[in-house]
Amino acid sequence: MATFSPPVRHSIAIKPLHLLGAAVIALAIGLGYYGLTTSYRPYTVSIDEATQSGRSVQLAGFLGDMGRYDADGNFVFMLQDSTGKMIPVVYAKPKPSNFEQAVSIVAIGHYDASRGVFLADDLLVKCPSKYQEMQAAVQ
Amino acid sequence: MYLLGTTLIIAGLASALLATAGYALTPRGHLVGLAFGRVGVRMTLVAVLAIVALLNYLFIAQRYDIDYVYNYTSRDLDPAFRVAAVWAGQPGSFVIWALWGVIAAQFLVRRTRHAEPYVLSIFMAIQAALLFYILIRNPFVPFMQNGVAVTPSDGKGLNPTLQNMWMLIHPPVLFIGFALMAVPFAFAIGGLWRRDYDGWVHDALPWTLAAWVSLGLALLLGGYWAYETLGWGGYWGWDPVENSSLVPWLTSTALLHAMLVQRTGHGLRRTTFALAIATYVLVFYSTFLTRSGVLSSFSVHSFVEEGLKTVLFASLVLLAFGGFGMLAWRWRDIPSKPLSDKLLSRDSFFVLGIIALLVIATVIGLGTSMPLISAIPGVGHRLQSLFAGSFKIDDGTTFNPDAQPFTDGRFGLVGDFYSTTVPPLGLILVILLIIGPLLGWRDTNKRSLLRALRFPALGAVVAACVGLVLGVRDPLPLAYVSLCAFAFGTNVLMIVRTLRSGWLRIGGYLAHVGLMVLLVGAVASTIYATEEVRLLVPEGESVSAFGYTVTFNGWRQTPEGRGILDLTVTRGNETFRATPQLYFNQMMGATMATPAIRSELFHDVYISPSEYQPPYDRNMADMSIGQSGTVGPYEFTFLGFDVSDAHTTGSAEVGAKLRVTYEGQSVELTPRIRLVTSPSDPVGGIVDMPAELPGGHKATLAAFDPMERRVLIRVEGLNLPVDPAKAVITLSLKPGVMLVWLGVIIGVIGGLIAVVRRTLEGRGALEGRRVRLPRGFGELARFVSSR
Repeated sequence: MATFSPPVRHSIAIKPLHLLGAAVIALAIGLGYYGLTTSYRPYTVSIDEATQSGRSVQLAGFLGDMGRYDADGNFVFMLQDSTGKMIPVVYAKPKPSNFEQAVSIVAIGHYDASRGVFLADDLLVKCPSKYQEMQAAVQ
Repeated sequence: MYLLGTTLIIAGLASALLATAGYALTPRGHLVGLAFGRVGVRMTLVAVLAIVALLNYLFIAQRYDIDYVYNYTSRDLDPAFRVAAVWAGQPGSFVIWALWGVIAAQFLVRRTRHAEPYVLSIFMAIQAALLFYILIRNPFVPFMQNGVAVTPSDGKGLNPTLQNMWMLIHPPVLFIGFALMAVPFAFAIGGLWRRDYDGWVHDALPWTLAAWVSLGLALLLGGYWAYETLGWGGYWGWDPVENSSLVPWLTSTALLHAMLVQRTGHGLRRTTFALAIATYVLVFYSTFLTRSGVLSSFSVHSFVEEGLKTVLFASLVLLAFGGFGMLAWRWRDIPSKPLSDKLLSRDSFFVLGIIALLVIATVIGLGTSMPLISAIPGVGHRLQSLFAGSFKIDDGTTFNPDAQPFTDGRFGLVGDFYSTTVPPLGLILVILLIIGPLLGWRDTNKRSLLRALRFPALGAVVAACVGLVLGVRDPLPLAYVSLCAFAFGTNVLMIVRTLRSGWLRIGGYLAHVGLMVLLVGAVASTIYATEEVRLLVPEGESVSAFGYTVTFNGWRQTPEGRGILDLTVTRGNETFRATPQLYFNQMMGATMATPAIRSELFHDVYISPSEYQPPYDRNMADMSIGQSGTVGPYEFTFLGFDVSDAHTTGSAEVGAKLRVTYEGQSVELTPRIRLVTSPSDPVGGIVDMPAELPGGHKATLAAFDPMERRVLIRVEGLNLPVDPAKAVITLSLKPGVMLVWLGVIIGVIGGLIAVVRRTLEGRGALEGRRVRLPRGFGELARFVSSR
């Protein structure tokens, strides 16, 4: 160790390049934090947890019925959790294409206490094996 | 076939391991190892080709006694898709990945010079790993039912969404990218091994470019597929599948730029090593994410775990620790060379560009990995408590602190995360591309720089004005339009300047031009797409939106058995037919929906089918038990079936007990049908026994379903109209989508030109001389044919 000589260091003077690089990284951290606040969605399999939190979550459950369109063109179906509790889910878009096959479904959205329904922004349909595996493979 | 196939896989695996071991022993002085290595590389190719041939034969010969064939084909499948079905499942996709890998290995043997044993031992070890996965998920396993091998008469078929041109080209292109990305990794590890810290970059550059082009093209094809066939409404959804292949593409872009810096001035040696290793680790991480089922609750795709999770995770850890371990081991040995001190130099701008690319890759990579990070015991709950207390979400309300954290500690980020973070960071890249290409590597004359910027700046001003006129008012999109035009201008200027010294040198600038076109298209199509309007169009009638009039001609079935909504769309004098698909596929047990897209110069007309309502007869009421239905003045409630007096021999009766409300009065009555058979007429017939309604009409039991406990009641005599069938569609206009495709195609052409240039330069270096690049196509053809 006594003979170890550290490699020659270049001057560590701060150059404009360093400042700009640091600025880019700082901007990314700031944006990342801001993005987190708008897009953070905790995952739950309990309807009670989803309704009590009051904000946007990812609620996973099973199909309580096959769903239908309401008068406003929303797709409405019942979501059931593992305790057997049910909640109506209102989805403002057309029925997902593989809805009928769903073994489970994840609704991303929030609970609307005034209407007693879960308003879903997005639905992730989980299907048995094959079909989805291929979609994963092709992407 | 199981035995033959498995033997081939084992033979391939053994050959790859032989090559790895032979090459690995060569640097230690065992020169015979080199011969073994080369033979091993050839033998692996033979084995993999045999696997591919056998698999193709099984699919074309429709050998449904093989589980894999049974699961992905059927008799009615088009022959072209029978070949494509080979890579529809997991084992098959590893097979083509390995195929491209071993083909690349044949070329590597001749192109690596002194590095051959080092590079190829690493590269063949990777091929061995792929063959090992194929062995575990053996595609030759016989089809078993209750533990007995059987031969079904027909297969389960290929998903209709996969039966299009994109299925034929997208996966092979993607796996070319995956296979070639192993080359810079192998070169980097080889370079660290033999302490060659510069030479490897020259050899690896054309391979890296080729991998980069393939991966970029695959991203485009995947996006186009999603847009055109799967009907996700867009070409990019920030889904984990898409993100996980975008991240290695971004780091490979950074790697290319680092390689160029190192090639020119020998700077950034450690960065180049780190990026080459990181890119391949990320390719593997992407494979792990999509094939291990870890993200199954967080993606549109439910990734299915098929027994490779542990093996893939182990490979990933080995790759990451092995690769970065090698780098750490040699870290102090790698001499560093200072970059230019000047900010206005390519050195500095390349560094900033690499930083910006890596920052974007990190943001996307971390966001996509959140479900995994939060699944680590303790981490998820701690982060959730932190988030619940520290920030407000969406509309300003906080999470109920008592309700946090959730029992399941995991959390994910929705697409908003990426669409708020990535665009501002992407703008940094655009700004760098305005000035960067005009700079010299070490320094720049400011006066000539400013002179060069005149016309591009004018272009930026014009683009901003055009944008304002077209209604682009928000600062970020306006900045994108204007600055992209600026960078477009400087890169076109550089192309014009460079063309004098041969068109082979314009590749990089052309790729930048492509990126600018793509970004403008992406901004236009994401921010200025119209909202999706929902249109309910009765058959034979027309509904208008955005100046387009949509007429519904009815639901039809195509000869291939797909259902289409037949629509005629007109605007002004222009008329076109749109046929979005919407039908229930029995085989898949799912509703299939495929949009219809009309691409016009400035925007795409995107028609997405959401529902088909069959004709509705107002004289009928369709009710389950306990439900009510209205026909004209009558309100019916279905109380239950009445089969009580079905005792007469030779006949059976079914009645539907109804409560009928008419002008405020309620009565109960039971329309029936009777099945009559007699010795003279053993087939018998159905006799309607209608019930008299209070208003003088008759109610008949038109149909019933005892399983679902439903009845269909028809009222005779009212003669109410029959409502026509209706199509429910959503229509939107997406501007600039053409620019996205155009931009990627320009970028790919630029990349391919760079591949040709760097390959020619590499060959020159192999022969120890500097090449004079050919200028025109004719000269290029002579140049290539001269050897």
